[in-house]
Amino acid sequence: MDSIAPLPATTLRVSPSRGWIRTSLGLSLIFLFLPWQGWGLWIRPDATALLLIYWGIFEPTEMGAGRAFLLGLLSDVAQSHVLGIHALTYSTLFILVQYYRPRILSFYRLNQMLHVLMLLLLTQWLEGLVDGSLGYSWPNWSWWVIQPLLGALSWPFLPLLLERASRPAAPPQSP
Amino acid sequence: MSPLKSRPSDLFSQPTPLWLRSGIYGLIALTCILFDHHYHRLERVHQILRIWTLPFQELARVPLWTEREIGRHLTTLERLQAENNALRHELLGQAALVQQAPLLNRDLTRLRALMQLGSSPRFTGQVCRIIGSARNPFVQKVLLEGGESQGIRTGSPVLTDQGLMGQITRVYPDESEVTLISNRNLTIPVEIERTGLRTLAMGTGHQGELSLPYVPSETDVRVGDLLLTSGIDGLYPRGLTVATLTSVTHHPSSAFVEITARVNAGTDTYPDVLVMTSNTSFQNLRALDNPPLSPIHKKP
Repeated sequence: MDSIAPLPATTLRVSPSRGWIRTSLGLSLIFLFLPWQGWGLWIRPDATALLLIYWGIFEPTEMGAGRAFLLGLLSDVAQSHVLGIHALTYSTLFILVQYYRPRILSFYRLNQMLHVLMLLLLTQWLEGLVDGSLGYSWPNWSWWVIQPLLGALSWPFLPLLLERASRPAAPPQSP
Repeated sequence: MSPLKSRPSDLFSQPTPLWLRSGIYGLIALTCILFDHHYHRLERVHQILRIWTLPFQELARVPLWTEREIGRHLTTLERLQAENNALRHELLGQAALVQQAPLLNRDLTRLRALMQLGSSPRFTGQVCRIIGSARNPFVQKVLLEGGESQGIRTGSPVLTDQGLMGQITRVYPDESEVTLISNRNLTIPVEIERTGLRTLAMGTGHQGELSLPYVPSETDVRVGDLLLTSGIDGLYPRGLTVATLTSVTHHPSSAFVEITARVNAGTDTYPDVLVMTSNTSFQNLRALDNPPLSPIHKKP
C-alpha cells in the first residue's frame, strides 16, 4: 500500500542542500540535450518542468519564477529554438505551481500525480500553441499527451531520486 | 541594526501578487519571442547564452562519444564483412559510371566552352553528425556537430546519402542549426527530372512532405516523378535529389494541379550528414548573366 502513503511533509524531511537542487536542475538540462532520435524524441519527458514542479512544491524558498525563466531561456538556446518559448512556459508553470502548492501538498501521491499531469499538460500545450502560432507545424495528437503522461507517471519515483541522493550521512549511533 | 530603523511598511509588505508576476514574465518572454522570431535581433543574446549552456551540452555528448568509442571496439567480424561485401557490390554497380566520369566531364567542359557557359561549379563538403533536435519534433530543426570553425556558413545546403535534407539557418562556433526542407518556411526551386519542368517546392510542415502549388493543370506530371534542385536560386547546386511525387490531383475548377511529394532524405535513418561548405554556383550564375544573355535583352 505504498502508493497511498503521503509524500514526506516539508517539515519532517531533511531539506536537500542548495547545491543539490542546482545540480539536479543542471542534470535535467543535460537530460534534455542528450542526442535523442527517432521514437526517443516522442517519449522523452520534460525533466526540467518536472523538477521545477517538485522543487517548487517542496523547496519553495530555493526556487523562483525568475530562475524558471532563466532555465527556460537556457533550454531555448540549447535547442536553438526561438528565444523565449520555454522561458514563457516554465515561468508560467512555476507561477501555477506556487498558486496550487498548498492544495497539492494536502493530497496523497495519486492525487498529486493528477495535479502534476495537469500542470505538465498545460506546459506542453502552451509550448505547442506558441510553436504553432509562430508558423511551425502543428504537432499531431500524441505529442500533446504522451510526454506529460510519462512525466506524471515518473512523479512517485522522484523522491527516490532526489531525496536519497541529497540525504546527509546518518549521525553516528551512540554505543 | 535596531528594529526601529527598519521601515514600518516591511512588517506588512506583501510579496508581488502572482498575477502581476506572471504578467511581467509573460510580457518579457513574449517580447523575446517577437524580437527573435520576427525581427531576428537577438542573435547576440543567443551567442552569449550559448556560452552558459555549452558545458551542459558537452556533458550530454559524453554518452554519444562513449557509444561511438565502444562501438568501434566491439564491431564484430561478421558485421564488418557483411558491410564490406555490401559496399563492394555497390562499388561494382557504380563502376561503369565512375569509369566514364572523366570522359563525360571532359565532354561537358568542352561543350560548355563551345556554348560560352561558365565552368560547372565544384563543391566541397563537411561531414557532420546530428547531435540533437528541438523538444517539439514538429519544429523541424536539427542541430549538427560542427559550426563556424569548420567553415559552415548560414545558407549552406545539407545532404544525406539519399538527397537534400535542409539548409543551415544559424551557425554557432562549434554547432549549427539545420532547418529541414519540409519546414513550412522553406521553398526550393526544383525541376522534374523526367520532363525538365521548373517549379517551386514548398515545405508543408508535415514530416517529410512537400507541396508543389504552381504547376499548371495541363502539365505532364506523374506519381513517382523525381524532383531535383534546379539551381536557379544560386543557393542549392543543380541536380540534388529532393523528393518523389506521391500524389497528383487534378481539380477541374483550378488552373493548377495539386501535387504532394515525399522528401527522399530522412533524418532518422542516418546519423551523419554532408554540409556543402564552399558554394560557388552563385558567382557562376553572375558570370553567366553577362556575355551570352545580353544580346537577347538588347533592343535592336
